[in-house]
Amino acid sequence: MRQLRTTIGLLLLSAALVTAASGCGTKDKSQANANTDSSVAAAGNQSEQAASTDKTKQSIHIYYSDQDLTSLVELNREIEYDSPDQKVAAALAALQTDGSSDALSLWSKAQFQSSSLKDGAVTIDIHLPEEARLGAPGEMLALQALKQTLFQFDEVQSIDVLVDGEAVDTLMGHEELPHPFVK
Amino acid sequence: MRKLVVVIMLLSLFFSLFPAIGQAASVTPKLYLNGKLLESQEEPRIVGQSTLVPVRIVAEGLGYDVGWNQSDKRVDIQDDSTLITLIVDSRSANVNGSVVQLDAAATIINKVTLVPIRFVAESLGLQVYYDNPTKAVHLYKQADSSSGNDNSNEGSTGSESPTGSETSSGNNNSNTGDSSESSNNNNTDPSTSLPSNVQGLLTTVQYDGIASVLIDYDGTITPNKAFTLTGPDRIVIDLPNSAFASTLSPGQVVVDSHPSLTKIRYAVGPDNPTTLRVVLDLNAASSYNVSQQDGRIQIDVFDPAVVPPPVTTPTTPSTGSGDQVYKVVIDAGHGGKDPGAKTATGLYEKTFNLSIVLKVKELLDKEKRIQVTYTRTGDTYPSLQDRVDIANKLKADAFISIHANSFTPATNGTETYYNRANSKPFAQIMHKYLVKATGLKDNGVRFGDFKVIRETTMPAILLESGYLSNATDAKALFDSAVQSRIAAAIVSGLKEQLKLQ
Repeated sequence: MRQLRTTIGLLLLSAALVTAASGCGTKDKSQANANTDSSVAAAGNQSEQAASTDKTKQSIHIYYSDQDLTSLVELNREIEYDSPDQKVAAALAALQTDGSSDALSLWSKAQFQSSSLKDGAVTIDIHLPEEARLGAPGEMLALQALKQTLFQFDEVQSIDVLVDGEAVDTLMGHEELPHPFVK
Repeated sequence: MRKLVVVIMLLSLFFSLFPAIGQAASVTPKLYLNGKLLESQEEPRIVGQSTLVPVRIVAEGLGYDVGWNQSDKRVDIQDDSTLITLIVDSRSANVNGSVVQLDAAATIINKVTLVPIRFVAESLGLQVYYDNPTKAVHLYKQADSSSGNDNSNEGSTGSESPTGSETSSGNNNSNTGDSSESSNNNNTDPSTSLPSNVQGLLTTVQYDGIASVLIDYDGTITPNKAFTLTGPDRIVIDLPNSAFASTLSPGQVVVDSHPSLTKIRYAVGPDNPTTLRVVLDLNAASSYNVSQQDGRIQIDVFDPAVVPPPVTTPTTPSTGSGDQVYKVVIDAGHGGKDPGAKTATGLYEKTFNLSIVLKVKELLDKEKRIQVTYTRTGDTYPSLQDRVDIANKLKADAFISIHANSFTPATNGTETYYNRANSKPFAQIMHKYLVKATGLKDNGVRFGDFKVIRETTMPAILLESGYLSNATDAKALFDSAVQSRIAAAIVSGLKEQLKLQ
């Protein structure tokens, strides 16, 4: 019990430190980005920079749909991150690209405007263009895919999905959107 | 200068296609004059509690003189007897020299000047009804001031020239206007200018003091089947091929001695100038019974707290006693701010859903043993909770939610969803009719964890007729003949479920 508390304490502390660090380091990061773009073009559009820093690599499960919206399909994908916020963002980015021809993204047309992880609570602000609105089975699977993907992280206890900053009652008009989803 | 009232008759095509823009909660309000939709390039808006309309509608749609003074940012609206002056962004207006406080100021949004319509219309002597669920403002102009529609061009060319001079001389005698109008208009007497399809005249609408609304008429009136709307609860009955007798004009009766009935409103209906609509405002969903004899339509409204006597208590449909009436909720998915899915060509799912529901309604209006409640019959957005509550409070016998699907361009086919075990047989019955009607790939009956079929208590299904994201499916679903087949299939499936064949 005490150990758990210590762990949580450490996590919070590190989260705070990272937030503070990234807060004042935005400028540096964009410079780093620019450098990477010019020198290591092969790295493509993948986020952040070089391997020299303490970036964490992790293989996680990402959930997709089959062609016919009958069930979720689980695939392993590798994400890279150096902060809790980035970990969530990387998982969301993975949700947006098809895994294979029979592991289709349910979130490809949605726009994740921002996401954060703080004290175990993920907050995601989504913009939903009209073409991103799925039917009833698509919405159900999309929400399941999002929950299963993020709740695999032990530190994530809740997910609050906002649409254009608002706590709306439903995302796509078929299922209720609790604020937040709790693990 | 007499202001000739000009009413521009715009096509009253019932477009409910305004896409939701602006804040999430906004619904574009609509404006009707004597039952006709007034359309304009710029949309009316709701600001706070007030509906503001582009001043151009007041001039072109309602036919009043509108003046604009740029330096004072002042709007002048006038007819024979009334001059209204509004200053942009000012909460006080001036009517014939008296200062009046406004709930909402005139305003300019995107270079369009908007004025508070209730204030303007009431100041000009129009009757104003606001239908909150559909955000519709209904204006009624008395026949004696709005006749001469057909001759408006002739009239305006003859007498519209030197604006202002007579008004400024203080001509507030509306008789002047009427008499000169009748001189170039042969049919000022409304009773002689009735459209040819009018077969009945409404003479009185009253409450009997006990539990019934009495609608008396001369001639022949065959009312459409009454239906209910919610948020707030209402019972609506349309009277086609009817008009008001000269002794009755659109109005309302306030009821204060009934457990749920609060008001009776009667006016020209929203769809057709010769269909009158009587609306019973309720403070709680109530059962009702409609009967008709000897020139009187009677609507009995039952106390919602008391189990209505004529409805038999939960017998199973299978024992189907000869004249049991079944209560059914039909739900057009999405609506209003929620467009649902979209086709590649830009058509919205909410439009498809409503189109099917209106076709279903046409068919179910003929079914004497099915009493239907619609979650929406216009471009409105009841929340998912609203839709569930409607069905559960009503203790409906069946619930059908109508949707269309969307995923990748390659995904296609028709699916019927159920959630609870008591809904699966209903889904199987419905699916066999539905898949035949759409002619699309048969994806079968599936389990779906969706709120409206999960949290309702009666057999409840959700239809995904096809994929709007697939070009072939989308083309079929927006084909009028296919839509009619789908509507007929839904009615067949429902009747088989209720054992009403």
